[in-house]
Amino acid sequence: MPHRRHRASGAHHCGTCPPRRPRARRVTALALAAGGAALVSTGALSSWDATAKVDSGDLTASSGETTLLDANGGAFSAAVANLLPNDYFHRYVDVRNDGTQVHTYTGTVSATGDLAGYLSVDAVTCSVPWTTVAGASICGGVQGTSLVSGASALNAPVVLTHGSIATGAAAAQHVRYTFTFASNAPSSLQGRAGKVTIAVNNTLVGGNDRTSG
Amino acid sequence: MLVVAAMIGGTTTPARAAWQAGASVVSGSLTMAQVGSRFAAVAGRGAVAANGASWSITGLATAATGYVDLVNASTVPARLSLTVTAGTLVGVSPAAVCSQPWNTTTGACPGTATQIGLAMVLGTSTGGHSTEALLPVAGRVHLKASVTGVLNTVTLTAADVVPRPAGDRTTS
Repeated sequence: MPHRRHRASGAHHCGTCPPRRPRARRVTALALAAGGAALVSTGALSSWDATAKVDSGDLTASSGETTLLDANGGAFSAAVANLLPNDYFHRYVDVRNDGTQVHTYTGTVSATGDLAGYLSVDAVTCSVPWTTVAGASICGGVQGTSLVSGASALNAPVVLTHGSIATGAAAAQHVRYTFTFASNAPSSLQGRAGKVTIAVNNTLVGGNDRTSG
Repeated sequence: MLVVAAMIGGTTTPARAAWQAGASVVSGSLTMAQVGSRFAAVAGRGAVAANGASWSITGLATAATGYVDLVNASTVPARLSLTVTAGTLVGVSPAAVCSQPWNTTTGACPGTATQIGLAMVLGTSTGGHSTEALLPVAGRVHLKASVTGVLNTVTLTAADVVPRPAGDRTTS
């Protein structure tokens, strides 16, 4: 019983008690052990964190939008009635690159209906918008070479090479299409009808080194 | 392993896949003209053939007169022409053209009348007439033909139709 009283009080006055490890020493040892382990684990891999980062500029996908615009006061969608052999008509179209970079364009002209095969097409560019003066079609700038090799019969779609067109309205390609009804069209075609369609396409091909922009 | 490699190889092909961008427009209807002419009876004797390509008048015991128009049935202006044949030729030509519609009551031409000349060819009197200017669509050539009391038949037959010259149709 006296031993219990001594423990409860925390005093250490028992001279007959057997020697035992002091509690304070055990706590100290545990603390040292834990501290040492911590020192070992951090000290072995210790470093100072210092990071840096850079962001790229905006990486934007290319856009290849194309617009075909009626020009010189005409409308490509206008109908033409009562065509006779050797009749011809012009249609003026501006090919505008509304994309984000210069593109190379190709085009097709095709005919459908009963007049297919009896229409021919010629297409030529002008450096400035086409005009019509006293009924005559005028290129006031530099007239380009024909986009097709001479007048081609539209038995099948005719391919045109528009070439490179920069972006924006100022760089639009001014094209004059001339459609001619064949002189040898048979009289059996009287009253028959057809249509023509023009299409312009560009192909955006990647695989280029864009390191410098 | 080969199969896997082949599969991988197959999936790497679109590495340079291209984007297509473009536009197209379609024209309005392009229609070919129709070219032709037909007879249309106006007054008096005579009859138009079912196909409208000819008109005939026959005289038996009495004289007869008929009025007929040759109509431009084309969808474009055109020059019309016709031929005249008669079994016999007695006196003046049996057919005439007036620049205005004939007065079918009096038989007079209110404008300028022109007799269609005939010539005897192999026993048949034959002649022809063509308009000098382009007739508008549905325009008419005003004709009168007469036969005498002698058994005779006069036939008017539509001939070549020459449409307007070919040209620039950009705005029309």
